[in-house]
Amino acid sequence: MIHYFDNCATTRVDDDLAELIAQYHTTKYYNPSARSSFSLQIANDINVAHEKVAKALGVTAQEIVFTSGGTESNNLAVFGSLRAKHGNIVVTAAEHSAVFNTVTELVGRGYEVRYANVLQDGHIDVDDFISKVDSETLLACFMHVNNETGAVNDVRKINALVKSKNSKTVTFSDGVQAVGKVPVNLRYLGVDLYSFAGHKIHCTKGIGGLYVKAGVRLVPAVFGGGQEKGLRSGTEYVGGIVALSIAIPRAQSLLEQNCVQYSTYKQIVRNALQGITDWQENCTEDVSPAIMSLAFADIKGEVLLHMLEQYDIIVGTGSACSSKNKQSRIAKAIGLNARYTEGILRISFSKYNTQEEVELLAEKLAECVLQLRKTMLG
Amino acid sequence: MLKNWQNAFYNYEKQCWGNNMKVIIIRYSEIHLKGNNRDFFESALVNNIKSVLKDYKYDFSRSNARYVVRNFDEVYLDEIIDAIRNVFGVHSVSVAEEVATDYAQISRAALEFAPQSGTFKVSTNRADKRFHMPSMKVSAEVGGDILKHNPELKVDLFNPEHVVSIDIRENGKTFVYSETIKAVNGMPVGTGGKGIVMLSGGIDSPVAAYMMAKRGMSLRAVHFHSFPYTSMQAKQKVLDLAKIVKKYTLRMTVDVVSFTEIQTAIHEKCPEEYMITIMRRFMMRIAERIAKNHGAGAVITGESLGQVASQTLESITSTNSVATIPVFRPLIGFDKDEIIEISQKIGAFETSILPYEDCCTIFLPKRPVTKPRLAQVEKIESVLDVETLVENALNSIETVVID
Repeated sequence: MIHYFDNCATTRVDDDLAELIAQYHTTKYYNPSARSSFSLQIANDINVAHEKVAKALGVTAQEIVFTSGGTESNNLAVFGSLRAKHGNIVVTAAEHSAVFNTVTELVGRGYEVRYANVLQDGHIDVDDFISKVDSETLLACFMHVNNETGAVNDVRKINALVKSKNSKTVTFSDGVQAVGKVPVNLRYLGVDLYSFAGHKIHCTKGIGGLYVKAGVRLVPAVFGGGQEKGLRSGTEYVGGIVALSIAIPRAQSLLEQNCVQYSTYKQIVRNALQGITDWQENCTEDVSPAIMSLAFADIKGEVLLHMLEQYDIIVGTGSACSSKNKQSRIAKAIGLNARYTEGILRISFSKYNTQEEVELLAEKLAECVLQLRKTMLG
Repeated sequence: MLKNWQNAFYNYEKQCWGNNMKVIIIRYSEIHLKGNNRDFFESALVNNIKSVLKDYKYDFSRSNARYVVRNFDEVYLDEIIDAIRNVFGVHSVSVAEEVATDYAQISRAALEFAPQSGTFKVSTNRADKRFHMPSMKVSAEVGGDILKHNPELKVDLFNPEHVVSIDIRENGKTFVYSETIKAVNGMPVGTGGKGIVMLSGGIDSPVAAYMMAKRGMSLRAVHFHSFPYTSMQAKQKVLDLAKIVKKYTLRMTVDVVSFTEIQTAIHEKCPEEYMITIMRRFMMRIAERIAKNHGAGAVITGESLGQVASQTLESITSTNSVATIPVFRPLIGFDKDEIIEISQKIGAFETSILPYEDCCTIFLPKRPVTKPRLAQVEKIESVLDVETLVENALNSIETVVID
């Protein structure tokens, strides 16, 4: 049996959702835009899904656009919201690559990109962020939950501060690690744009969404049949859409229970590491219950990961999406002590984890760290 | 899969446009120097060409110091040319039209191959002396026909920009062509013995493999893998590189050796600064043993003098001293830039620079010894049970045949 603790990278799909999706491939496969009454039924399923997702996020159905996932949502948000030819974009240095590289691309298109600092634990340095916003700021991007440290940012506060400095600035928050993992009410948060993805919450890869606040106008990146209010043409991934509309409220209904459970899990890991020196938890306050980011001095997180793999335990290092780059941008952004930068390990829980599994993880983790230190340092 | 799905279409076109078809003429290099061994070299070359064309449908024939490929699906012409020109031993290829040896047909084909502008000449070779016109006359008259058709062109017999070639064969057929496409040259793989190349996952070793394959050597690769200190992705990267190298070596098998035990043993028992030196001696011993097990007579490394601490003369001496068979280092006199250039040319660079750590980068000493003395190295190494460690490593081998 595989003990999976890399739920920030992706999650296993719930069995009933996998079955539901399969139905839309084999029996309810009609094109929702076609004219038969069978198709109309499918189109209705999509409409209902819009409503369910909207309700779960505290907004209206018209404000939800389904996309192929977080990266596409982030691209649509960034490229779609820029209507002026010149101006600046303020972004945090700790954004996920799907936002960071999208925004960086804008530099080549003549925009000024301003990178705001993050604090030691991965939270956005709000003062620095706001100080970079001015009358020329077209877009402000601030992630809700940091995918590497788990830091939960005060999106409501940052949004209000940005808007009070420049009411015309479009505000966008990447909520891929937030929806279904921390409470999210988009009216309360107040942002203009907010992205989310299915596969982080036991739904399938290939489905995600973007919340576009009523009145905020976006330019689509994909043209065609005009699906999703013209913002995302292309025949809908109906099974994914319907499954997502179940996955979000389902994850939300488990929030409280998970929060209690996961904090016990985190404590089990901490206890097991008590006898070990030179390690730290990268973020402990205002942190996602599901994410535990650790850093060990003088060892490589990746080696640790491979050692745990030998016990069928899967954990993460930094972000799976940027592991193709050598060093974690986040490690740099949070100013981690040089001895720790390579030793980052990310444990992320899901509802499928059991206490026994976590105990095994904690025990093996401590064992591996000790063994590795012994081998590496002699 | 045979790529002949368009044949029906192609035959239809042939009916419409007449029976003149494109053929590929393959010329080979150096082989003709080899006297008595010529058959050996030629059969290797033919086998190699056929192996790169195995996915295509074609006819192959030998015609007086060259080969001719006929009856292939013309939609794949560019791919076929590209495959052939990357076979070592091929000097050049030309796409020709094959027509009956008849002046009118020759002239018509020559017009098709004539340039649009600039200077040209027509060059004729008449192997079939039964044809009534001498070669000079054919050239002159066809040249005249071309000029008549396009008066903008100029004839230049000594330094022409374009040459239209006419090759009158003994079998009543004539080849007409213009462009000669350069190929990779070298010697056919399989004619230069067999070697074991150490494939690390970096930029140099695939280039070293390429260089030896160019001289006709058959290759097998060895890779040292240190799980969990290096990732499975690092191993996959090496297999991906092996696949790229296989384009030139035509066959490729990788022996993946688990190197963890040896590395941890050295790390535990030897001074840090000798880590790399001793590690490389183990690699050399293992590579040599693999060579002997597979009838290979040499070990190939991507070393370049002075590139890193383990590639100084003294370090190479330390590594080399455990080898009893020749160790070839085809990159020894190359600058990194030159190596990168070849790496890009052979299509390995993008894969080589993927950032997965190889076994040389873990346990990396802060100050590796750059001028190890052999006697000192041997003394340090004597605390290790070398034979058992090598034996265990050889038993750990996972053999991957690249297809």
